[in-house]
Amino acid sequence: MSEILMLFFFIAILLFFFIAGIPVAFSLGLTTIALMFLGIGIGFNPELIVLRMFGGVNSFILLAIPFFLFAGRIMNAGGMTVRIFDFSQAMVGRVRGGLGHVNILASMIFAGMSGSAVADAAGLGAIEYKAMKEGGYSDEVSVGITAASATIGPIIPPSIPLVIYAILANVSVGGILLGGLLPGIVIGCALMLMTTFYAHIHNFPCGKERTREEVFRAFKNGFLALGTPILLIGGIVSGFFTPTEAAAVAVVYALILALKIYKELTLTELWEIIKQTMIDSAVLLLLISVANAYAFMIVRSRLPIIFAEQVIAISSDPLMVLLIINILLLIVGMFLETIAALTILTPVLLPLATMVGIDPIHFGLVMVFNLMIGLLTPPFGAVLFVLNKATGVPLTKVVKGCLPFYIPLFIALALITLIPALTLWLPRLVLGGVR
Amino acid sequence: MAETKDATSGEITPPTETNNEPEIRKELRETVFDRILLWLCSVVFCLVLVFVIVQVLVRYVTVHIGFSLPWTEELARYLLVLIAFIGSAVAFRKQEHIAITSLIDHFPTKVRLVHSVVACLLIMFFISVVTIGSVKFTYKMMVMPTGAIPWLKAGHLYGIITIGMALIAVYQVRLLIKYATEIKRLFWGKGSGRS
Repeated sequence: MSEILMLFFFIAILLFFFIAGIPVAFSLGLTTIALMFLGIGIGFNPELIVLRMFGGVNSFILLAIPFFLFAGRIMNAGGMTVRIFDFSQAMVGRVRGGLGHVNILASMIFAGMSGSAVADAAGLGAIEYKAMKEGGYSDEVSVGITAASATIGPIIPPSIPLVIYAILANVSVGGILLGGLLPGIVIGCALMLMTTFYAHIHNFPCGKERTREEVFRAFKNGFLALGTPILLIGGIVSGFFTPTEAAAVAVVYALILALKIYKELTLTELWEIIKQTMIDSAVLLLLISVANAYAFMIVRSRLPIIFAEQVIAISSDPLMVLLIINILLLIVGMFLETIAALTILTPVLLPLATMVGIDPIHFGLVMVFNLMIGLLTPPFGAVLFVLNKATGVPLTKVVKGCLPFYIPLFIALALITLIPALTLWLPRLVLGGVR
Repeated sequence: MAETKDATSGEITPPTETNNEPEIRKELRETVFDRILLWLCSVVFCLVLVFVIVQVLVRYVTVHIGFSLPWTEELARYLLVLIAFIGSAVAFRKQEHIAITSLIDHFPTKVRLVHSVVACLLIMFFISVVTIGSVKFTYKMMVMPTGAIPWLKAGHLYGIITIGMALIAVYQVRLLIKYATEIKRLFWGKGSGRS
């Protein structure tokens, strides 16, 4: 069968099921079966599907994902999110456009605890929006900054997409999580610069001056909550914990804070959180498990190699290849759900990246950040929908508010793409020569 | 909880203000069966957390004595498999599987109802294929050891997938029954306004 026809089947069947509204996990599974019937890659073989599905979830590293989800939930329900916001306000609230900066800083700190942009937008996002609205900002600006800063969530460790990428690409999880730290800070700085610029043009209000006691109190209240990112990142950096263990320890720490110290979480609420986290984890795990079968079909079809050869025929310059991949990912990110896109595209694009000498860790971050920007773009931007739900601002206004913030996000994307050292310096420093 | 519930599930369902059609109730009523299943999976979830914590503690506390519990890591992994497949079944009660519904939401209710039935049947088809494979593996692997836990065979683990698929099938059948009554109500029901 010709390659183009093969590629067509891989994409068209999957897209058909997606658009038809079949749950993503089952779309992937049905496509796998359809491809087997068409005799692409391998003949009809149910055992193989089961084997790949089992292999997809039988992983200790994957255990980090439910724990990251769990920790994020506890933070939101246990009053830590509010304290982090207060802490940020005490730090940067005074300048012009102060609440915008507070919003970004709080998102960066929260990113150090939760691994999902959607969780950031839904939990912290509602608080950020409310504070900015009360502070006299327009709907568009409030929602725009909130949405844009949510993309930092999965870049700064912990991160669910980065863990999944690490498993698929077979790179060190600790390495890639550390690799996200500096790029996350770069994104935060780019957004803050944009906010400063914007604040002076539109004459945003300044935050009120705070007394020293108020600043001290906010710091004291937030101090223990700030321990979570320190525990997580520090534990991984020092090599004291594996990422999975660090995630488990972070959950326990958050539990102690929420139940014993802040006392904002009752046991009944906790049980509800556990049930919901379990279901969310199961949904994600099933998706990863079935995607593993689909990914096998892709690898078996030799499409990644063919694709890589085609691209290299255009250019074998790593920068050029990264540019092509960036454009491709931005388009894909508009239409595909992050985890599904990641599981499908990693086996396709990674061979190409390694062929032209791009480091897999660098490549992973570029990929994940691209898909995060996809969360802010219509028609299928999950963060847009979540913010619309959490704040009640109409979808069109949310999109309009996000528009100006594409600029700093794209600048940050360019920086992360063009300067590999940004991602690779820290993992190399800490873990030695990781790949 | 309502707010955080939507939060991390990553549900991609844009609001459907444009659609004034009557809603299809897609949520199944919670039965004792649902509760037991949800309770079981949630307890397993807690156990996984406990095992990982125990592993960390044992490693750092007893590193000098040379005592270790290698089964904690393994068991945590296998319980994760259990959560993945049995938890996925539970997720069907409230339709929490990630799906892109923005297109289908714009169709009239009757079309959406037919669509839901077709989706159910497609999911049934997929799980029956998986069941064929997993039943074979369950039998074949019943003698294959897994590692640190002597009584646990690989067959048991594939058995979890088989059970998970069977449970998903139960939910699909329940959904189909629900849709059948909805179809009766909408297509032939009293006061539907059709002449």
